[in-house]
Amino acid sequence: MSAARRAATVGLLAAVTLVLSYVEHLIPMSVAIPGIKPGFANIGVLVTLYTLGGGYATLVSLIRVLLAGLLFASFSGVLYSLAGAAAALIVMLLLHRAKIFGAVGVSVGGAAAHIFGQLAVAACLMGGVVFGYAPWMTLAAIATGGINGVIAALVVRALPR
Amino acid sequence: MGKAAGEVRIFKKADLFVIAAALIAAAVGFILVFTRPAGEYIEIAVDGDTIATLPLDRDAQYELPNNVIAIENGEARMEYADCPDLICVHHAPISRRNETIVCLPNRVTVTVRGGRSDVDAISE
Repeated sequence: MSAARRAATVGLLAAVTLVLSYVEHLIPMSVAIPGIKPGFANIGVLVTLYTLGGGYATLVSLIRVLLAGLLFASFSGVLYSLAGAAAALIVMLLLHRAKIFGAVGVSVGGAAAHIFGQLAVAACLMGGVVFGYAPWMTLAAIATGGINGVIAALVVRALPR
Repeated sequence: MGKAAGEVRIFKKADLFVIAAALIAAAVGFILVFTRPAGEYIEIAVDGDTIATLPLDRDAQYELPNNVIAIENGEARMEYADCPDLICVHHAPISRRNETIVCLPNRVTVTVRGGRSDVDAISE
């Protein structure tokens, strides 16, 4: 892939990821369990990871967090988002590099790490009480992470080589 | 798009370990959450600093600039919040020790405290 094509692809994937973030903001989420999000944006990061590699996945994730924070969230929102995204990215890069995990495993691991990254920041701001949410969020992460992993793998397969 | 694109597997056996690890973490969390004894009072905190404590056995309302907390029938809930997501308002009422409702945007937490072991300590 030429440098120009790679730059264009990264820009495209970052834009798609940002749109997925926006779509997520539009969906009124389940009221029964607090703090649960579908995590669609991770589909974009996963597709980048599988097509362009970890470095570009990191770049796309960072662009998404900063732009989504600027457009739809507050400063503390960016802080949570950044902590979640960083934790998710580290776990996904490691699982991906291990080469024994499929897209579902990488995605679920990332979703679970995202929760603990965010809860860690929340715990710093508000104390350990926030961990009462963790079990519900972890269960949700298995479902949303699994679905996003399947979607990401299908997208990567459908892309022209 | 390079050779990586052809190698993506949706699911591999090892993925079960990731899912199992997450399930175990959730199960341990649920056990910890659901074995909590009933609490006696709530602590309302902003930015982690406790600003009020209210007994759970007396119906009451506590107003903050951006939130209203209500106690009814021995349970506490977030009656109002000015944030857009309203996650805390939709949260189920709390009454067990260490249960908590968090309003992330306003950095308000409501936590149940007290309970049998605390009572024992006081009465002895």
